[in-house]
Amino acid sequence: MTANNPHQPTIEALFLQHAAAVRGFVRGLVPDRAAAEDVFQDVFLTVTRRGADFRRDGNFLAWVRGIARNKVLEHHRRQRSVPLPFDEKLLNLLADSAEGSDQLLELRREALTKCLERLAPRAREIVDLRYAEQSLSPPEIAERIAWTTNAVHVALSRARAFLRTCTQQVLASGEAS
Amino acid sequence: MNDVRLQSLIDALLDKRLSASDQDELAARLRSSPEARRLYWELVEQEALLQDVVCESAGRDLARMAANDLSVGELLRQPASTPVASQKLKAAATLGRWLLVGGGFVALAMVLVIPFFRSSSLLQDTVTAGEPTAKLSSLAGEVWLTDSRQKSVKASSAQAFYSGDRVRVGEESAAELTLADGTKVMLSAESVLHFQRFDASSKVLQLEYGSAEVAAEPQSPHRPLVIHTQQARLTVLGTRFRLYAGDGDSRVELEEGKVQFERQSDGQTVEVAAGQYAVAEAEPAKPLAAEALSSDWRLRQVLHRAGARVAFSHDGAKLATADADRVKLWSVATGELQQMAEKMARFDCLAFAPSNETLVAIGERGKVLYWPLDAASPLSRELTTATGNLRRCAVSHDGRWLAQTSDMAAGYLPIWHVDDAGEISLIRSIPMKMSSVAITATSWLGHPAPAAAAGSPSHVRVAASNLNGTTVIWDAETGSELARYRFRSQLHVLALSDDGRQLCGYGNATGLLILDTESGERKTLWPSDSARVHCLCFSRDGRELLAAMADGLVRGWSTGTGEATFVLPTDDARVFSLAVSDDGRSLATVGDKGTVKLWQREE
Repeated sequence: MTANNPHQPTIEALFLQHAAAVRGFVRGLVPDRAAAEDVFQDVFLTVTRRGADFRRDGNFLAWVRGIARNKVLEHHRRQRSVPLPFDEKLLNLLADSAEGSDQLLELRREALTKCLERLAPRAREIVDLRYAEQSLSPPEIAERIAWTTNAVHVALSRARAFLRTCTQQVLASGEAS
Repeated sequence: MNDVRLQSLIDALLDKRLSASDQDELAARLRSSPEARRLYWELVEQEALLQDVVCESAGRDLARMAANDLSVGELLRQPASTPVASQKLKAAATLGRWLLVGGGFVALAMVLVIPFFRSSSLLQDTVTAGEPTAKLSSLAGEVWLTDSRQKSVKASSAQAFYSGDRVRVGEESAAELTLADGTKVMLSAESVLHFQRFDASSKVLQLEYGSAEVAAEPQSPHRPLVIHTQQARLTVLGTRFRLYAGDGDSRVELEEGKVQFERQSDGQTVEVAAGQYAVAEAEPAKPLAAEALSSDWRLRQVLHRAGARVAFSHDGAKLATADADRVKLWSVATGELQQMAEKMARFDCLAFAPSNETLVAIGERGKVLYWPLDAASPLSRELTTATGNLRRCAVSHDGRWLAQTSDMAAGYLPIWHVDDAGEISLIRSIPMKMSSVAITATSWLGHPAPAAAAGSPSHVRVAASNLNGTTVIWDAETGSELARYRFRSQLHVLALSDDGRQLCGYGNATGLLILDTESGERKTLWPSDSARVHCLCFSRDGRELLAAMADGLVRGWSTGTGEATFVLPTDDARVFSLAVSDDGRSLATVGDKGTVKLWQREE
């Protein structure tokens, strides 16, 4: 790593370019959102500390994912007292199967932005409450909008399914490019 | 297991509500299938992107995103007591600083972009000036206007809509619109109508999903009203009809006049006349055709302030109704009130004992009423749980069996037996946390038991569904599990046929399903993205299923073929509940304000 070369992005800037992909990768291996954010921070810390190890002609995202995978495994070992959804073997299998490039992610983000606008108002409100800065859990959303928790779960599932289909359609039609 | 089930498991994982058994199921699927892992990553990536996109679209700039997503603010307020915390703080603050730089770019972009949007807004204002396309005549619940810029506002009474606008009707809501040509459009809950084009040359609407009842003014043949759905194109020539737009098909039902109905997938066209219906599928399997829409029910009595729940006596002579605090008995022949219990509680399920001389009722809070009709006053009893709250209840058709679900974490589904003296005994408690419930007892009331049930030691079946879509049927007396199904969502409304062989249910994601519990054959009778089902009821012989719908209709289906047997417009905005007599010739429907209508089936 030639951190002092002014023509090359610093390791922090590179990390920022790939932040969404790394966050998604971590979240896929650590389903709990708050715990995933902790691991994500640890990954950033390690990446900045070990920036010199990265070869400029290498695949940055693959390198960061390697670090992230180790951080996830460390996290899982620390959490042994808490039942976790996946064992280490499955985590490795999942990590190996993670795909996606930054360009595709950007296209998906664009498509998702479009599709969010197409959600019915009530569904959009629920999605906003779930994913906003101060996110609410489904029972909290249910209390806020005077629905049953089950109705919120259903609405969230339907919204996710709609967004997935819509995103695929937008990508296929080229609207997002 | 399919994509839908896998998706629901992943959803449950993301919302931290995955049960231990579902967790095993998900892990097994992820281990064995690359496709499952691909879907998993797709949904997880969507989840991460949603966090970013929602925060951005909520107007949060990148700098704040860094501060909050990485908990910089929180870390700054907390003493960095450990080396790790200190390192995290440093790392987060560094990342925050970097994203602050990004925030600066966003601010610059906003300065450049906002004037563009302002000019677009002016253009839009110019376009929408003049006569509106439609006005909101009345609304109930939540109705939204989304303009062509995707900006949404809550609609108010007399709201005007212009070309390019969408009207969105929320859950448990309804809207009536009057188009510029005088046509009335009643939109049901969870419907979206897009005013694609409405000007001097054409009138084009798109029902994106949901259902609409339309009373069209006579149309000019040169400029008729055209309504699109995903699967169909309907040309209106002045008529009354209902149009339903779902994901897989679109259906039109004519009350008056005629329409031209075109299937989008292959351009086939059919003329649908009064008393007919037609369905256009996205993937057609048969030629497009108009079929008869029969309703042989005639209104006989209207019972005002009767109640929200109803049950016929087995001889069809009496109707019991229950409102918020009273149970009443009516003569089916004359519609006269015959008896009324003292004010007590709300009862949600009613049934007569086989003798017709005793009424049994149970409420969702566990109150049970046992009313020998010759007694001065009914007996009542509380069914309570040690912990947790009771949820939903059910009573068998003969009034001898009660079932109740509860929200106890460990699960508690008690089944009670009511004897001839009104004594209630707990027969069994099933340790499973369920929500909706149905119970049926094959007491044949003098009729011979069907061959399938002959020799069976038990004739009582309980079905219940929980919020993750698991639906189970048990033998109530032995507690043994007879069948288990996993649906995409909970079945909010459940019914079992008398012989326990057919189960039907309606869920938000599943639509209305009917299952043969022996063969496993399953049919979808009504889609999930159309009018909701509020109540379900099998005919005593199990050959017909009746549904009370949120669009004011009662629909019937043949359980054998899955074909519609009738569609009955009740003239109520919604039908909340219904009951059918044992001989299948009388029907009671509950509409708004506790009004019960009694219908007679004509020969």
